[in-house]
This record gives sequence, C-alpha cells and structure tokens, in this order.
Amino acid sequence: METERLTLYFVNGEPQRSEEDDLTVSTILERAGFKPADQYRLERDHPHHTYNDLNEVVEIHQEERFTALFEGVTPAS
Amino acid sequence: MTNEDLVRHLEGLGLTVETLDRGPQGKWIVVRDYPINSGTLVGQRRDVAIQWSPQVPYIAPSAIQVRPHVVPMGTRNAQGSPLGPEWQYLSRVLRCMPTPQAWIVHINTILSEF
Repeated sequence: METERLTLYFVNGEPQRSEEDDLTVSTILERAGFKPADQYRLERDHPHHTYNDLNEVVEIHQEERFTALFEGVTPAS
Repeated sequence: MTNEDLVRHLEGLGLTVETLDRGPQGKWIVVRDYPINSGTLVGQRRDVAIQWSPQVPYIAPSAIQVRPHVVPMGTRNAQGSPLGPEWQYLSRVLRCMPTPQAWIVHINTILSEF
C-alpha cells in the first residue's frame, strides 16, 4: 500500500502539512489561517527571505520554517 | 479568546511563559526569550510582556512591553514601562480580531519594525 508523503513545515511555529511540495505564498498563508492573504507578508526564516508576490510558488522543504507578519506598519494607539 | 487561551498557545509553541502579578501595575503574561525572525533585530530575542486583559469579551491591550529595549526611549512610540526601567512600552494596536494566532503575527510584526 502506497504511503502518502506529507511535507511538514511551520508557520509562526505552528505545524502545517502538505501533500504538495510547491505552494504559492497565498496558499501557505491561507492554510495557516491568515486570510485574506493580502493583509499578510510571508518570510522564510532560514535563509531569510521575504516573499513579495502572493502568487510566487514556494518549494517547501521538510521542517522549513516561515514567519507570517501583517502587511504595512503597525499603528500606534 | 481569553488570556488563558493566549498563554496556552504560547506554551504550545514551546515558549516559556510566566504570569506575573504586579499588584497596582496589574497582571501580565510574560514570554521569555521570544525569537525575532525578521527585521534588523533578526536572530535576537526579547522578553515580551502583554497586559492581562480584564475585559470580557477579550479586548487586546494597545501596547506590548519588551526587555531589553529595542529603540531609544521616546522614539517610535516607545516609552517607560510600568514593569520597570529595563522594560520598554511600545504603543502598538492589534489590527484585527484578537486570537492567539493574531497575537503572534502582531508580536512578530512589531519586532520586525526596528
């Protein structure tokens, strides 16, 4: 019986699993619960890289870590 | 969400979390050695304190406290903290419905902006 291989990766420290090795930035964000994706920015932790295009395809590696941030500057009170 | 939800989420991420009762200065959720993964402080860590919100339903406080300081006092909406001089008060508003996940995004974003 063929075993389904899932790639484990992390967004903001929370584990995510994917059957696909290639996901768009928006898909990574949305599957991690960050919707709509255009309100967020995704960065890869190591090596550090900022994804500027939500449609960019990201090759996911096992145990890779990403950080999701809000897009734009945080307002002060 | 509740304050307890936030504590559980932070602990679930493997972070060291303490609840501090400072009497007149209120109750605080203190996260030790929060990792900074973006911005000029990347690779560094800070203690982050979030005031325990007494409101029901939960209302996110409009600031976080960090230790050690991240900017010169008086710049970038930073000022003295009720937790003491080693801490820095950063006035920053959570820009969505409060959830533990939103708090993590919020802290990550604030710490990436220096």
